[in-house]
Amino acid sequence: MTQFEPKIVAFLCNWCSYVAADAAGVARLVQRPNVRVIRVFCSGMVDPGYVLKAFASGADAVLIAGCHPGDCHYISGNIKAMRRSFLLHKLLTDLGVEKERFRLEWIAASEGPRYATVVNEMTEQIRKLGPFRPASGSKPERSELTCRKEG
Amino acid sequence: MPKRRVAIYSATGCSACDNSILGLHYQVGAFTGWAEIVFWPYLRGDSWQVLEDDRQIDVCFFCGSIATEEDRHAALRLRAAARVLVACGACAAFGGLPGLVNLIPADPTEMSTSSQDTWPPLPRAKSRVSGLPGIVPVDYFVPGCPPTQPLLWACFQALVSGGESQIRASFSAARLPEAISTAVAAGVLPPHGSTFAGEKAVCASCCRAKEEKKFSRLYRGHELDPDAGRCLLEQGLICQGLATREGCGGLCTAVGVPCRGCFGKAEAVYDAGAKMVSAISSTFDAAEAGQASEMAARFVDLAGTFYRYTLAEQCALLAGASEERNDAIHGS
Amino acid sequence: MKKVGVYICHCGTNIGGTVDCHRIAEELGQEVGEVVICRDYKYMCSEPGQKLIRDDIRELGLDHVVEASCSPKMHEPTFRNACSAAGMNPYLFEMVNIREHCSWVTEDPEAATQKAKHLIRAAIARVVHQTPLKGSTKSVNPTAMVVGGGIAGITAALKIANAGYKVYLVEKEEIIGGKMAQFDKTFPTLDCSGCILTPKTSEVGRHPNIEILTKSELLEVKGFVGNFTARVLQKPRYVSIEKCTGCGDCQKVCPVEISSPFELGMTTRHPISRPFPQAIPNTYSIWRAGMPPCQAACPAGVNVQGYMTLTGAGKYGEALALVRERMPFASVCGRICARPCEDACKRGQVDAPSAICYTKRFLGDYEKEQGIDWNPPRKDPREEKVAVVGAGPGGLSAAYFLALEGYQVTVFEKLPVLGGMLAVGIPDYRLSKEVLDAEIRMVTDLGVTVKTGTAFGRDVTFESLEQDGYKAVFLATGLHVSRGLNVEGEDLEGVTGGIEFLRKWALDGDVTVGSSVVVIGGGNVAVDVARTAVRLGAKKVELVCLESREQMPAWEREILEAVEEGVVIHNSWGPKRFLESNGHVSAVELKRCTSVFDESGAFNPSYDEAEVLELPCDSVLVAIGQSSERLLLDQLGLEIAPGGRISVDPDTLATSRPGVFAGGDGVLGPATFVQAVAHGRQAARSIHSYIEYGGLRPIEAKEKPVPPEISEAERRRTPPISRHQMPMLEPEVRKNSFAPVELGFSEEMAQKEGQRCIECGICCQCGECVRACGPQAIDLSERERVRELEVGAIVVATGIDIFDASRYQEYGYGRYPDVITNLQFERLCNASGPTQGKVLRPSDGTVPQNVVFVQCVGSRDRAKGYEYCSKVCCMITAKQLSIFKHHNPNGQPYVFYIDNRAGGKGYEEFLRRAIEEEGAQYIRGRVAKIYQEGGRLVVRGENSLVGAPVEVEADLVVLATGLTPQKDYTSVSRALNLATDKYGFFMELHPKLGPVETALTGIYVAGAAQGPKDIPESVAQGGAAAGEVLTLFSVGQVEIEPTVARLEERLCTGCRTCVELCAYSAISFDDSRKTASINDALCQGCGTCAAACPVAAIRVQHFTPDEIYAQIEGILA
Repeated sequence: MTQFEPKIVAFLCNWCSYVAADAAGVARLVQRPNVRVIRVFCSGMVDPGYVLKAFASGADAVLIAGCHPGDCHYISGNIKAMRRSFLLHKLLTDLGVEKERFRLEWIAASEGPRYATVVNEMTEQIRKLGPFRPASGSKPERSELTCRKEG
Repeated sequence: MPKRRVAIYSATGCSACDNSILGLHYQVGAFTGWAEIVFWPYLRGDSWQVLEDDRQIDVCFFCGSIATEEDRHAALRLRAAARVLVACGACAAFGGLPGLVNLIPADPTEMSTSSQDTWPPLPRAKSRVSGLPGIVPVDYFVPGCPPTQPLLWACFQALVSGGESQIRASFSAARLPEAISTAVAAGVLPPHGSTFAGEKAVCASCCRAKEEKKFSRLYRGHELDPDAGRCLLEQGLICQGLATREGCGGLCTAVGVPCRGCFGKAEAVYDAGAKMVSAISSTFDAAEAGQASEMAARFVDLAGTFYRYTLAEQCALLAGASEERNDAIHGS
Repeated sequence: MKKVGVYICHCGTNIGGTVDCHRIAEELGQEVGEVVICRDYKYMCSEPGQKLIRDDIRELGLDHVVEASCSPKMHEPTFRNACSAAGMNPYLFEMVNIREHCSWVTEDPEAATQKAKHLIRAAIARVVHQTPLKGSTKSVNPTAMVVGGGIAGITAALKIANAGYKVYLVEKEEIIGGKMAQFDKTFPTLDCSGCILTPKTSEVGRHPNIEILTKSELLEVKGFVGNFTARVLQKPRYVSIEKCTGCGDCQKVCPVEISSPFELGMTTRHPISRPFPQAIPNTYSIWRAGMPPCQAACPAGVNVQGYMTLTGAGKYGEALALVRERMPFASVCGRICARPCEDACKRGQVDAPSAICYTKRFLGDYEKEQGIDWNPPRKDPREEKVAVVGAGPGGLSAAYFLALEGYQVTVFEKLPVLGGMLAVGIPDYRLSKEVLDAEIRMVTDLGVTVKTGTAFGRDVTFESLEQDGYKAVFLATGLHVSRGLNVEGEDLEGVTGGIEFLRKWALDGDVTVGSSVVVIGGGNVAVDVARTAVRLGAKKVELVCLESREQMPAWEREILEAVEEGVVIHNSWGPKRFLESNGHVSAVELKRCTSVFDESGAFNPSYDEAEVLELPCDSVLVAIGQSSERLLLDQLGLEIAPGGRISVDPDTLATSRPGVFAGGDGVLGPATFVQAVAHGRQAARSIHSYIEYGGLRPIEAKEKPVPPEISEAERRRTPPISRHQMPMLEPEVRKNSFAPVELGFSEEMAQKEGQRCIECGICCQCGECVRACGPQAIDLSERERVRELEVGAIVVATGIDIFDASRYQEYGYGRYPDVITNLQFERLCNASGPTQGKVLRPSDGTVPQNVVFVQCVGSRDRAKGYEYCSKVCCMITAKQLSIFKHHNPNGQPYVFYIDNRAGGKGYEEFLRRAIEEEGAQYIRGRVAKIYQEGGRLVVRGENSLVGAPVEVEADLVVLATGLTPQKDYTSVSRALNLATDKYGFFMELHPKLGPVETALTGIYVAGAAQGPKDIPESVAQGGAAAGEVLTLFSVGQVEIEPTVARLEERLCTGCRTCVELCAYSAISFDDSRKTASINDALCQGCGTCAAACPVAAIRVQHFTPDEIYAQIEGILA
């Protein structure tokens, strides 16, 4: 059987991480095709609801990337994203989403190479983990449920 | 004009909804004036035979969650019989507390086998609980655990009185969405699918003063005796009034009990859990990742907390647990 | 049904080479309903490509457009314009990045094609939810604020002002000109810095459109581009710019000299001065650090630094007059004051505090010796009568100041003598009657009538006083009753109250004490009682108190003197009972006191009853505190605070009865002499305003005190000088007489003590300059104020600081006087500098022969300094050595350098001239160490070109110190919330294309505040910044991006979650509506609030949830 190709949704902040992704492109740093980018103004703009929505819509992992703390174009939006990430992780775990499937990364505009690395290693990681099946509790693989698009 | 034929049924639940209906006190007179109650097992022990003659039921108030085969059959049957089907109470509307069972991994088609070896035979429990909309299409919702009389009363006026109500400008109408209250006032049916509750969140009707949202430490209910008059969340208690549909009038928070979300998520919210996470953690009093994770570490059982009544129907990830939803049959 | 047009760009082979654009176009064309046209084209960004889009919009009536090509960072504007050119709202356009994010980074064409397809599908799903948006416009306030008056700021200010707009020039220092004002000549032309700067500064000074705010700092800036509100803290100059003629008479008489920051410590300045004659503003100003700690500590607020300094200068009269402004009784105070001033004196942190009190005593006594009267002038007499009840220090001070104000004052005293406790509470050996009477006479000589033997309540009452036409009454009745012990046997014969004992002795001079006396109490009164008992011939005097030795409230020196005189002290004992033998006290039984205060710190002694001690004695004197006569209090009929004290308004001392004021011990409880005097003056002022303005008082801004800890600069100017000891009578002599124990300072001692003052306040406000100033331009009562400026644009030109060379200890800067920084060298060369432009060694003023220049001090040095190159030092050194050669043709300059950086017009040529014509020896290598050998300095370094160590003997070493960010750059960056780099230089918008813009529109940065620069660059940037400002002003209005947060009020619950989250305070809480409200002019559209809003009532336009959700579904479809 062909190997599993995870779908990863990446929310990139317009000022640092999106630019980093562009830089990676300009430098032709080869990346797995699994990551699909959604551009947002600021990592602080990413509502945890977006993350749930992504999983509910069939994503196998979600990446949020923003400016390094202190460099936020909006002074402290990324700090808010940081604060949310921990509680969101807890909620996701309760709902049976493994830790590895959600990541918050700081990637500065100059860090094109780092962006490529994050993309590739995350893809590999999720490949190993297998597809995400929205279910409940600790053993999602037992569930036959299919997820609804709308809550 | 003939009386409306009304059925009231309670599936798996605590029957608080039935009692809440009984709690209408003096309005009961008016109610029975408009309604001919043809089927109310809880109150009168009616058997299903009552529904044998295939006369239509005008309005059916369905309480309780769908946790057993019987519940499912009842839902299908009443859907078929009733012109207007109302999910009454948190269980029917969102799956309610029984819905939390869905957190335990299990095969949805699996049934508990306990029924064989016990007497009297217990109903065969489904391993995945759902609310009424998980099984059949629902026309109206009255949330709450249990629903409050003002809202029930508004619902009855809108659906049962058939425009005969002399007291349309009901005191409860104020807290309803404009569409519903105008419908109630005009004695016409509110828009299909409406929820008989407010459209803002509980904070809007909570009497407590909100000063500054800065979350510095979580307190569990038993750890703190909250100051009177100050926002409970600002004192470190998890209060879901933030993202929970209003309509109750902030009954719990008024007496110092944090909102537990029995009215379901507020109008425009996609997922209540995500919003609660976002609203609380955004205001964490933490500049460093270390502090933030320490603060987050004090929270326990987020799913059980934020989806206490709504897991089965409103949790973006776990909702829709029912195996086959039957859209074939539809109320007129 | 929406009509979407999709356009996929091949970008030559950049995309088309990997992604099968044509296939995607076809597939999407069929599969997605809304898509009416789906094209692929070689170069969409080309004119024909754009034309495709424009034509389709027109012909097919498209209402949404998706464009898949390069990064939106590249061409989004291009295509948006194309769309709006065809009449479509640009926000109905969505761009997909299938080049940088797809074709360029994906190897497998099929995978790339699939990914591209997903991304485009997402865009289509998203775009149909997008709504037309339009930015709003706000008008611009055509007024500019330039922060920093250096050459960059001056240039910007002048250009903006010349264009006809108002400019506020905010400068931290007292003059504008910045660092350039300190330079001597400029490279590479060697023209005089002052000669090219001063024309500019004076133009600024007289420009009608420019308002200069000197000694001012930015506190906070609110608002947004075109509409800022800046709050500026303006410190006082004390000299009116309008009135000052710059004659300089003030400077001549100023007694204070402080090392001059402008001259970098190479000479001193007077607090009142002007850095150089051509300075702008061309007037004098006073450098005052704040209220010195001594004055702040003095209850009466006597200007201690002032009179100490004047005494140091031998101006005793002026000094005394200064004391009298707030303290009538210099001699008395000098003898008995509690001296809070000396506890606060910062010299105490070096050696010992100045002997402030003794110096004051000298001033008072000196006056009497000279028989002159240094009281402040008395105002014209007025007919209003004021009654003062009680002739203690409080009452007499009130009388004094009221009399000076011109009132008819009468003092009523119950006792036959004046002075209250001073007369009947303090024994002669501390304060002799002559001294006291002399100063009381000074008060009465002002025309104050006194009625002794007149008791309030008995002889006079409020009513009688009113009938006699007194407009106001001041009650200063004091506390003249000893507090009781309430222990068994207290009423025995031989047990007396300390106060009564002292009073009896003072009044009728006959009291008898037994041979062995026990004094109970640990305060000053107790000690006085004990020492008086000693003098009255008691064989044995024992003092018993609850407190431990350290806790005793009595002053240390008093206790010591008492012990010297033979008083035995029993600490931590409390009286249990008095034993008697036939009715007369025979002994005191004491119990051990375990603690005096409870944990709350309140007086609440606890005892160990078991441990007792019996002191046989034949008389006991109880001095455990004072209280006022209950009787009197009752008669007053005034509000009484707990503890039997008259309750008054702390600001005015007004009692519950109109026109009646009270102060002193009667209000404070047992307090000090100086507190009583303070109350006297305060009461006098309140009574004056009560009579003059019916109680209204002008509010006087208080001066901020200087920090209590001694600063580095203060330490440097404070060589230890030991404090003069007060000459005293020998214990053996004094214990048998009431002759004064302390003999007083000589004139010379007093003057020396005056000179020990370290001038914490810098200016001592002695008033010499005020007296000397012809045009009366000086007002020492000026206070700092905050000004609010409404401006449309801000230019930040706060400049740079100089690296602190002392961080290189091995170079000995600060240790060797002849190791100086290159800025100090500038001052040496400068004609208006400390040496009038002669290059002389600071140590001995001789002309140096060998001068060694050390490069890169603090620059290009990760370890000790900064990584960056300060850019100007190479040229400065080349310039300075040329100047040095012109001053001293046969001198020899050496330069230790790393690299010579001479990029710039004419720079390299100039450098070569310095090397070839001036014969400077350039040695490539770092300097390891500078040390002194004999009279000369030796510079040891390495010559990296020959790879050998070198040593050069030097007469003078000049350190080319680097340029660093201003020390207080954070205050500016915070006020503006302007980003800085890791060093503290302000961040420009773009290193290449936005050199003077910042991330905040409407705020521009110019000059070295953005990074090390030389003068021409700073000027250029000043001009550039001005250009930006003028563009903004000429457009007259600003476009506000529509991608901002919007609130749906229908949903907002007013939970306030969002309010605190906004980094731009764009969200406020509307109390009337009980909802949040967003100021979209302030909103930057970051969306933090939208993400946090628990009811999703806030949405960022163009990034709404439904748009994002659709995109998520599309991307995963």
